[in-house]
Amino acid sequence: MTCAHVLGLIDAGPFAEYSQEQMDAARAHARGCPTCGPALEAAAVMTTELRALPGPDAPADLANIVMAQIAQLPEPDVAAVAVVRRPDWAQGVTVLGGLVAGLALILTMPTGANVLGDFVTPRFSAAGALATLPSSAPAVLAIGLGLLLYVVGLFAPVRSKS
Amino acid sequence: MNISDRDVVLDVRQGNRDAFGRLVRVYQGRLFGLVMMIVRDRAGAEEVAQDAFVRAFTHLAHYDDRRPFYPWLAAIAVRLAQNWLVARGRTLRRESTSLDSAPEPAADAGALAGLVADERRRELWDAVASLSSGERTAVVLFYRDELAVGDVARALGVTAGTIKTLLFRARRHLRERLGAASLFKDVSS
Repeated sequence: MTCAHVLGLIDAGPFAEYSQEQMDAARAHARGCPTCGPALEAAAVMTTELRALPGPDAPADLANIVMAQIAQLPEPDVAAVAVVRRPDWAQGVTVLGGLVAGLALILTMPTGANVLGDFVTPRFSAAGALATLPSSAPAVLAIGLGLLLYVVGLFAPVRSKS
Repeated sequence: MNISDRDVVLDVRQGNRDAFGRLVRVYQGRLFGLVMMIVRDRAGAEEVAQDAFVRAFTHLAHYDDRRPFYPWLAAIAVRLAQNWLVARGRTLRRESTSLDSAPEPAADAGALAGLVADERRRELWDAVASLSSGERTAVVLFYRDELAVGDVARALGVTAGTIKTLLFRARRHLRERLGAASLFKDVSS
């Protein structure tokens, strides 16, 4: 462990991606190093000071000015403050629809080999690709239902509430 | 968001616009300090801070009250501060549109530092103010305002990895600028 490693570790601070062994080695190095030891302690101080970083006081009348501006806004702006959010069920329906459609497709899809034999590789053939689509009515129904749920959830109307 | 902020937001959404004043009073200090650090001009900071609060009020419909309020407010303020810098047409234009690490001349740092009373704190403020735009904004949001890296990234419109890099560089620049001796001097006092 060199000084460059330890100083890099110090600068990385909370984001240092070092193993515990490397951290221990760095601490051991810092204890006996006239450069890294003070730097490590100074880094801790810096973190503390940055967390308490002072700032200039806000203008005393800032809140009054802001509220005066807000008071002058026309009513529609207040009405616009109402929450606009997609219904809570929409996300669940979208996920459910996707799962139903996906599972139905996977579970009912015949393999290309079963349909066409070993002479056609479905991956490289349009005919083979068509042959892998599910053809039974329940499968098509399940996939269609899943897709319908997915679309309903995805495009559920946004509601507004105060 | 703590429960009182949520209550205030709900109150405002029900039509009580005066309730918004509580949020302004609670966050005006933090927000003004953040904006001041970005624009480094008191008059500009006042203008941007006022605009940020008014924008937050008029866009409260877009605020997700399941998340903390201040990061959302800070993101608005950061964007407005960047716009302010561009609109002013200063030579610091590039700091408002990119997050490069080159330190820029802290032309207004003296005026800034004059606003912080304590000498040692002024030194630290001055050091942070001399960092590049991205670095100092990230430092204020992450350390002083205690935002998570993800929230800082959203406020600045960059990735979390970029924020980590900015904070890494900022710490290195501050260490070089302040030096261990300076920091220890303050600890002992």
